[in-house]
Amino acid sequence: VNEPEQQLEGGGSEKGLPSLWLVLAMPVSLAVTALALMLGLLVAIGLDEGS
Amino acid sequence: MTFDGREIARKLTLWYLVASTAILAASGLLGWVIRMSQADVARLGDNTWYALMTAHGLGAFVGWAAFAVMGFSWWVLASLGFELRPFGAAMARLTFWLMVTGVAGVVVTTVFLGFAGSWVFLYPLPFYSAGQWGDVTTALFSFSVLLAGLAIVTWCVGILHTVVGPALHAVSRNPVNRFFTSIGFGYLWPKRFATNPTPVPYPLIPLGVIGIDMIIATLPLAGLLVFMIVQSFVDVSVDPLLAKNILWWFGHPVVYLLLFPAVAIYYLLIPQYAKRPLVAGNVIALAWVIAVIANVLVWAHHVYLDFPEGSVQSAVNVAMQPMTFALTIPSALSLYSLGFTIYRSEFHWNAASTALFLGLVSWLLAGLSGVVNATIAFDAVVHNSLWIVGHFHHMALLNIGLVIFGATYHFLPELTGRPLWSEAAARWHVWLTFFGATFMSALWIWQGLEGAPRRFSRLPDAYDDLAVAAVPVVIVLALGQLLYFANVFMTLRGPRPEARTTAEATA
Repeated sequence: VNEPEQQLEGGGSEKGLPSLWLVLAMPVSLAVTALALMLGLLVAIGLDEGS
Repeated sequence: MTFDGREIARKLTLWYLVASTAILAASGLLGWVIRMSQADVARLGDNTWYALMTAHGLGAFVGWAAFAVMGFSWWVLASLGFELRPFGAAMARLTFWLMVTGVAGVVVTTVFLGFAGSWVFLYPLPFYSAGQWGDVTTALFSFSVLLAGLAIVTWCVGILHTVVGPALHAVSRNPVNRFFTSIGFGYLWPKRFATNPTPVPYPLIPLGVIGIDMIIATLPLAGLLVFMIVQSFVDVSVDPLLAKNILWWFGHPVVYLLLFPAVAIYYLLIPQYAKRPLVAGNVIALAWVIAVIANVLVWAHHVYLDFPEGSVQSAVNVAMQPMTFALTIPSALSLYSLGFTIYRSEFHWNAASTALFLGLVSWLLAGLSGVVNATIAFDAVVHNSLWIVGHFHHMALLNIGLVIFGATYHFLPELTGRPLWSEAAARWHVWLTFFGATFMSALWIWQGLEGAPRRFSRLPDAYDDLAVAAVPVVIVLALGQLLYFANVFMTLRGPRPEARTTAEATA
């Protein structure tokens, strides 16, 4: 009962080399979110100095 | 006509998934609006802000997260061979309609009637509205929450009915013995809670535990809500400290209503992706024995502050510290077991398994900002600050939320008979959610450490800067969720595999 079942097709099962879209998901997401954070911090610092 | 429990579970899980996803869209939008208001992008009136916060909190926590994992539980059980029987199916259907009606009532009473007593509606605040809403609105709000609470109870009854069903290979026919067998006692006392021929599947254990605990936790709150409805029309009142304890008697275990079905999903799917059984699975049975008792005995760590001096509350609170620390044992053992099931396995990485893995990472990280709150001396500093908001968004959105997203990407093709619309969109969504929500929570935690108060529609000026800094991150996080909605919608409306094959053949 507690043996793993081999039924993984439901979650996507690309064969061979993953496409560029799949490879880029993690690094680009990190870069975009980090840039958004930096932009927010810069705006906040700018508002702080302007007030 | 024969009763097909698996087919009914499949359909009901889809209902729950679609409804909870719609509620996520609505409550997420409300969260976006109040966050933008706090950053002064588009300022709301104070009562509107508190009303939307009330709707956002209840909608996202109960209407989305709890409702979604409650739905997946039917499919997890069916996947283990524990199919719905007629009574369980009736409970599952009743749960769905009670929850949908309850959430709709919360939306109406907050967004349209202005109830703004916060999503934990701390008694007697709902009756002190400063003229912003009336007692009848409080009665309608309380009734709506009562319906959602009853949905939890009927779900628990349906779960308990299913876990002790014929698929449980317990030797005993005694229902009490079968229940304790279903929550893993057979791993500890194999003679008394014997199973034959197969032991209890691990994902069953957390579902049985939460099934009994949430009945114990919810019934007193239901009583309080009935009392609040009566108080809306009759001049009566209840001791506020008692009401606060009743609220958190429910309010802490309800976190586990989200977590334990999520753990059941982990126990089911992680071994499949790792292609091996759960490591040290029998040891986690010990953890669940602790959990079933400790879960309902830690409520007062939410009442560490704001109680009358000289009351028994301070002694109760002190007792809650070691009990709360004890709760790290089930979490730590589960994390250890799941982590080492993945470690050095031939793990199959896709959007679903990545979401589950990042959910585990977030469970650990968010747990760290949570367990420190169990110490009264520390909680006294951070309790009414945005630290708490950062902690619970980290836990709910990234630990629970990522399990829901992972389970959706894994189960949706099984449930619909259609392939996932886009694996790539799913991966982008998972990573954008992980980074976006981690940064967003970190900013709240940072603000909390600086002393920024929570439950303030307008933060004091000194804390404005980090609220502004969060805006671009929140935008990225929200855009990421659009990929999820698109994926669910397109998968649901996509052609069935046989239709697609026919279309391709004729093209």
